[in-house]
Amino acid sequence: MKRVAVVGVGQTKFRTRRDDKTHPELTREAVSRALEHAGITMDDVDAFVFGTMDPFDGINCPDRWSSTAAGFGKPFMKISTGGTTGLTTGIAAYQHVASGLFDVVVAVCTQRVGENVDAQPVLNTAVDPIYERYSGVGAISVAAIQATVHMQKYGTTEEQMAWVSVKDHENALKNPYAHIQKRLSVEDVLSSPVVSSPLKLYECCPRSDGSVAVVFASGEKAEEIRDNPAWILAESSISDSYFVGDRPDLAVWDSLTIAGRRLYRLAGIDDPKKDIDVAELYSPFTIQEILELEALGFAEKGEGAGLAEEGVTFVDGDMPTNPSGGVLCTNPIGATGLVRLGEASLQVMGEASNQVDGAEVALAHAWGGTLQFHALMLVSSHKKLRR
Amino acid sequence: MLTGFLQIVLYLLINNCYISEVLLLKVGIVGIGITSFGVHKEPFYNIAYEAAKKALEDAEMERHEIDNVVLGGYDVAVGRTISNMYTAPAAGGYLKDEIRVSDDAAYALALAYMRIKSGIFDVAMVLGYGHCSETPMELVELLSLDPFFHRDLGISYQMSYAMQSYAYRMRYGIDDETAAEVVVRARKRASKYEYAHVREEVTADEVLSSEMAIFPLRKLELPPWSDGCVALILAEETIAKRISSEPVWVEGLGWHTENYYLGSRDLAELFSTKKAAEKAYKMAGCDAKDVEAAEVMDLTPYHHLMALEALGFAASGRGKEVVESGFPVNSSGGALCTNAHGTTGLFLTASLALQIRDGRDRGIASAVSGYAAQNSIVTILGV
Repeated sequence: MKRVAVVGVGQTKFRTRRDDKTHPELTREAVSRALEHAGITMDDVDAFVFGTMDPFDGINCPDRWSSTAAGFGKPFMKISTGGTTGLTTGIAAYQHVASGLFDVVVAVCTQRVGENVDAQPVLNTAVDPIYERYSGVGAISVAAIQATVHMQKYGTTEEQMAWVSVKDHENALKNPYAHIQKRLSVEDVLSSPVVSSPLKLYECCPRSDGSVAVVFASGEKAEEIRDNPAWILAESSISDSYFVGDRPDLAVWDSLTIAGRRLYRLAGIDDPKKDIDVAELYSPFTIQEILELEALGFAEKGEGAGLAEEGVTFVDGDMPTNPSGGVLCTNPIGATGLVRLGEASLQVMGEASNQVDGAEVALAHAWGGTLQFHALMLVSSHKKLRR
Repeated sequence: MLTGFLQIVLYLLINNCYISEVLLLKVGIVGIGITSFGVHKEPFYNIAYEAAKKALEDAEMERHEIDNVVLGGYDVAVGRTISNMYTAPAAGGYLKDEIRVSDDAAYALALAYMRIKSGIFDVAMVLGYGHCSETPMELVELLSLDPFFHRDLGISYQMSYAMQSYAYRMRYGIDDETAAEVVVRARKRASKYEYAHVREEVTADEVLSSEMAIFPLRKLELPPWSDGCVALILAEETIAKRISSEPVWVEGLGWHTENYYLGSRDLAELFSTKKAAEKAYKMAGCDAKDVEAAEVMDLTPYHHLMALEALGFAASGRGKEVVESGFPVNSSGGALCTNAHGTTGLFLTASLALQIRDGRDRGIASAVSGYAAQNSIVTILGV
């Protein structure tokens, strides 16, 4: 298998609306920054992979329009898999290079959730019109069920969940691209209005507009391009059953456990807590970071809830999680997964805005559908896992 | 001594060229499943399931032998967002690695090829879906127009193809009769193809006297909107040879994207198809004269001719000579008879694979997507 590395990352500033730029202009902003970061030009790019979640941008197939900024005149492929889109776009770009067909490929995801009055009714069209649609299933409602079940089963408290939000918001203050930049206390979170019980406003992500681009290069090219590429160790995706009601237990995210185990096997990881230095997880709701840390083996089942409160997941803790401020502070839905990969890559390059000291192995994660999909990528400052 | 020398050379080749040997690995189609195309009223995941099941039965395989699923199709063409949510389990994706290309599913085949070629996966289920009866296609496709330059013009998807038809007609002096003849031949072939949607034969007079739909296209010169699914199972060479005595190999792939802005393009040529074909031929190491059959995504009879030219079978404006020559193009009836938006290209590719199984040595399939064929992907299959 060909070695592939991330050699450039570019992001736009994320905001509720980016009325200052059109879809292609946002795309171009991210791509230009990624190319500049890699020190290459558009001519060096062999192909583009574009990711977006279709109905959110107020335009169908915005990739066709946005290709004028990135991809026009080259091979161009469009990926869309719901919330995982950003990361599956990265995975597809990685596979473009790993196949040997292309040497330098740019993954770019642009999303303008601000074009919608409300994202949840759009998301609701994804679920089955006969069984689940009229229950109003969307992202927030299923996350609220996860929180309720986790609280009942493991005694997780609202304060513990609030600490996740405090930690992410603290981290976002250092990230110039983050959407919500506001210092919060546990009291602020707990006293914010309930959105979907037990989740409160500051436990839920914003809806963001923006774009992110990541440059992938084959081994030799990557070493030519920069001294500190982020080598891709492994990737893994999983697809669960369609109906939320078919999931055996919403207090655990067992499909993520399976995907994680597959990823660790591919990368040769025995103990994720020891071998992984930092994680960028897709947790638009506080409870989900807790579930993800447990599912991925960073905490025992039921014990993930205390990690933020104990300081473990803060940037100077033992398991820094979402040092970028995470999805809780920035969520351009179909681009969010690629932001996770970009931030994970910057961590192992040693160039992150909220750098974890000595980070060598970083995990990027995204979930999508109504808790149906997971995608994972593992990057490292070394070509192989070092212990 | 000579033997010893050869042994050393062989040793060096085997040990030093291992990686390039892996890169030379072929990828083959070992299972083909196509549903009927038309209007399907039952829950659509049943149709996706039927295609996947047929492909597995065709390959004599079980679901667990597939290690990844690559889906292809549009959300707008099935009336719900994240449409891979309901097609993934139907395609056998439960707890498997799965991804979806949101374009014509011919692109999904290309991605599956890369996933296998890289050595990451061994066996892929590629499933394309289109469910046009679920949604008013003309209206939702209008939403693809950017809000500044195109949207106020209200150009429908078919209008963009009609504009190309008109430009091509005017530049090369193509008459109504030539276009009608393409339709007559397409319908004739579709009448003999069990999977085609529109299978009634028509005469040239019927085409020429049918209602003018979008100038210069008459009603019988427009493709239908179809529902249906196509599944192909792809496997790396060594496994493919265990599964099938005659895998259909993916020999060439190329895809290309043209300028989005209609006003900045030469509408009389299928430039994206031409560029995609150049890449596919280069990868396959052949050209048009080495190809024995073609399946082209002819959303209009004029696109039938333009595609043949872009694929190198004729010079610009002379595609009609290929039609007259009897060269086997669109034995499936083509897009003019079956058009499930999102899987039309893969339907043609699968139809080509069936022809390769039936004895053709090499064939080429081209698909287009976007307004006025902005994007194109070309696949070369062979034995």
